[in-house]
Amino acid sequence: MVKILDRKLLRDLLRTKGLLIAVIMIVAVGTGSFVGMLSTYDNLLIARTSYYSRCRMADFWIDLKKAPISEIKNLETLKGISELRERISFPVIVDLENSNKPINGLALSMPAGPCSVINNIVMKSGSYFTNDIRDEVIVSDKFALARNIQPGSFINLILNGTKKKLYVAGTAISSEHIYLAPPGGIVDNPLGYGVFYLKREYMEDVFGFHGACNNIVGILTPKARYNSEQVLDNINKSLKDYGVYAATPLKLQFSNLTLSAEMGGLQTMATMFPAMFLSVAALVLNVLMTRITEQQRTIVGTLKALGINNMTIFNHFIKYGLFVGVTGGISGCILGHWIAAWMTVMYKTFFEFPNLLNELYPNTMLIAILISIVFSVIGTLRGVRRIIRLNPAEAMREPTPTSCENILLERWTRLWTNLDFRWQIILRSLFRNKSRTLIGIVAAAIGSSMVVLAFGFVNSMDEMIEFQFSKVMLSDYNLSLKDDLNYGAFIESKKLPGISHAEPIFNVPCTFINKNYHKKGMISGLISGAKLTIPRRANGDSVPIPPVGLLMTKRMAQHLDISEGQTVSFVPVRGERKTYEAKVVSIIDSMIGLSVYADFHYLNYLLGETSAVSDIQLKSNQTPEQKISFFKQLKTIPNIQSIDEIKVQKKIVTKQFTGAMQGTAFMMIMFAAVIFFGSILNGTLISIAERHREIATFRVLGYQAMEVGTIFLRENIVVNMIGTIAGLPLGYWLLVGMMSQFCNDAYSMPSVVYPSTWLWTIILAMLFVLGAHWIVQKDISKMDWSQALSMKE
Amino acid sequence: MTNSKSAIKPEIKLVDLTKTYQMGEVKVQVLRDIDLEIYKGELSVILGPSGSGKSTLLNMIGGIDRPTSGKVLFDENDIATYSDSKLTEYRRSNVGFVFQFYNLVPTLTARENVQVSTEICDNPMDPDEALQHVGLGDRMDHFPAQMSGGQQQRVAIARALAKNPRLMLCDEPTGALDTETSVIVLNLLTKLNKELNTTLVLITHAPPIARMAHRIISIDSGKVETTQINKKRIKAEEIVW
Repeated sequence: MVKILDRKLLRDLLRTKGLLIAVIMIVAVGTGSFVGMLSTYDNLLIARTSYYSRCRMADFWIDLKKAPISEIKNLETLKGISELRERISFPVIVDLENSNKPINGLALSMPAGPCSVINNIVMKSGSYFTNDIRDEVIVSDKFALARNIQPGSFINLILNGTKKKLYVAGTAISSEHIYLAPPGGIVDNPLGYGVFYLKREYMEDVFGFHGACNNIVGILTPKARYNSEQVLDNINKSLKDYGVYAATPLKLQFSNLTLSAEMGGLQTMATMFPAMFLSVAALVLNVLMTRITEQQRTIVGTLKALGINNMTIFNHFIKYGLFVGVTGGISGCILGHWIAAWMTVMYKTFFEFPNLLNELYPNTMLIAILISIVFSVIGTLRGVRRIIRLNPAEAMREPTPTSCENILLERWTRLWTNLDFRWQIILRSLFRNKSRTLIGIVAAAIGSSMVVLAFGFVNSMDEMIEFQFSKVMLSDYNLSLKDDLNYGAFIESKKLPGISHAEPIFNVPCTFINKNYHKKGMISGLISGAKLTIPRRANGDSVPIPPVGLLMTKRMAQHLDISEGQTVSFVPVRGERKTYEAKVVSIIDSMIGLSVYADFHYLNYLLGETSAVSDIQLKSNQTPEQKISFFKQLKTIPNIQSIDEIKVQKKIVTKQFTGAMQGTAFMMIMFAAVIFFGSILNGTLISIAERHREIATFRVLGYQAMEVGTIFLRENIVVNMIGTIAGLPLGYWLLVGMMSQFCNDAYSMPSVVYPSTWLWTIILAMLFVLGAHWIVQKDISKMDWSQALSMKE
Repeated sequence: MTNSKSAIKPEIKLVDLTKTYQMGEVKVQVLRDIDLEIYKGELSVILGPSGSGKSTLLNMIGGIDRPTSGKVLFDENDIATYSDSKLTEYRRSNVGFVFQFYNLVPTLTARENVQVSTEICDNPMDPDEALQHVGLGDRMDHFPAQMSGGQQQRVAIARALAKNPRLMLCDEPTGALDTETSVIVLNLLTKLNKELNTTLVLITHAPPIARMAHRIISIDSGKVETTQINKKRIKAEEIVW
């Protein structure tokens, strides 16, 4: 029996292939996104785990002013610490012969001979330090590649204000810099920022750090990893005399944080996308199966009359769902593997791993196929159950006609009678096939929410960039000074070539304390009426710097559980480390970092300084010649720690964030198209099959195929536009959910949808409807309607 | 073949059978107090106008519908009390159906349509042999859409007879056929009744067809009006349409 019914199944599948392909595509995209995103997640996880283990990645980082090594040794006795490594770490400026601009970098000490230290490096080219040369450097690989620096060549680094010529022994990568961004930046920039590993003895000499360090990395005992904050608190207390700038656990370390946020986002999308697609697939299958079983009502009745039991018939129809599930699942696995390959290649450009490969994950694929089967079978169940419940005699009778009662709109006689008869047909069809109409609306809503989400990603990125670079940071250059200098340095900077305006900043790293909450951060002292850094609220309104008190970003205020008008305590890392108090005058918004602002003079006064300056912001109006001369002069100023060109930063952020998002957005829009096409084609082609006689009658009366098609087109426009509009808020909520994955102390992604996005979503939905209708119209045009008229009703 | 009540046992016996359908708020009584016996090896024709309840009656006999009250006795057992699966078993082992609109599976060939039937019973006829019986030995691999109405009905008959059923129930088997084809189909049915001794129940609204039967049961408005033994049986060719 099974064999014969399977043969019937095979032919039925072939007969309905167009409709099945549409559903299978939706299932495949759902399964594909599941496999693709989870595989990419697993690729990253495997690469990260092996890389962290290979480099002996630290569990925490401590940045401090200067501490004797002997003191560090004592820390090892603290509970929860398994191993420590002290380092010397300083910002440096790279003076490359082929670059006018000074380039920022980070110098890190390494042992003279290779050994398995915490946060070790993996050599990519050349060799580790030799014993023969003292002034050697190992350059971070991405920077070396971007700047074409080869092992065996020489580079100039400005170390502690002095230009040093160093021999490049090799290039290397390290797990603590999988994602490397300059301090204060949020994107990597291989051309503009590099890490330079130097022999410890050499750095001791250059920076005057004999027997001392300013950076500690450590590994915690397995038990302490669950409570790293407690251990870091204890370290902070032990090192309080040495000026701890920051104590960062692994989860907040920038590279790890960025990678984890990305992986978290992938996990969320790996749940959200398949759930959306497979739900639509189940709904569409439900429509399809209800139709198929209804169409085969007589056959079912006959089979039952012949003595075939319900289970055999049930199994026969359930195999439709199984077929869709298995084919969709398998195609999805192939698509997913391709998506994972594409995404892994994309991640390779951001994240630097020694070995990031796209692997096959049979377990993930098996789960994906099972999920797609479950959804498909669920979608099939309703239609099959309905037909199975009928007794054979009932099944062989024509179904009782669907409700012929008046629809609600007909009660408004004036409105109803004024409607064109086509609209009357359309509205009756929509109201009488309520579940099908509803499924069409839900599918369109999910499709349009995906389009909103896709555009919303790009809009939010644009907004973040716009807010930060066009509203908050308005300078052209930002110079970080090595030590806090007095106002004179600032006056001098105004004289640099082509500079039209300059403003000083006094940055004070400190620990904020409120009740039991404390958080490391920094207060930036801005001059009153500052034009180059403007604190703002999320709506764009500028917030003036109060003469007394602080402006605090919302996220920092949340960390400290403080609100406007309350007083916060803070202990600066520098100076006497006394506890100061200041009122939080206003809460502001910032997309990058946890900024806290105060008046420049107020902050100086509070800390007992006169006019200390740590950074200078410059606005320029430079000719190309002036620019060259400007950079040339900067290279010669010993007190400059780093130089940032804001325009370049903006360009890099835009390129990296928006560029990556555009690819993803395009893919999502394509996926949304699959939902629209799948749902519309299924719904309409089924509707056409059911209304064969109606179409034939119109044709006999002299209606053109196009005129008949218009009725179906209007029906689809109504359903899909209602769905699309319902999907707009849904898309926004999804965006808010997604973006919360990308909010951390380093950056906060806003959830913004521009008005043009709503419009574009509607336009795209309309285009999808028209595209699908083109296929529907072809079907109507080639229909043999004369035969339809002679068919048994 | 006999037409004497005393000589043969009834194959199926309906006792005080009623069937009521609920159509929205209205109750429609389709069959009322039917008492009827169908005899083994006979060709019985249930004759009645459209809407008289004859198809419903056939459905009760065939176990594809249940009465509202009354009994349907087959081998002394009341099939009306059977569970769904037992009723399926009854149809599977004992009943062959032929429908007015053939009810073939359009995606299966003639042979495969017959196999649908033969694969589920214990002692079936070879599907090819069944098709040869109905004169379609050369059409076995044709799909229903490639055959005429008469040929399709003959496949349906082959499908029913291939089970070697004790009861063959035909619901207006010529209702959708032209005269010439109807004669072929009716001849085939009488031949099967005669040669295979299959109990055959045929329902029709056409009185001339009834003249072929051993027994004519007239039904109207859900009630059996008369049951006649037909002493002057005619052949299909003799029917005046």
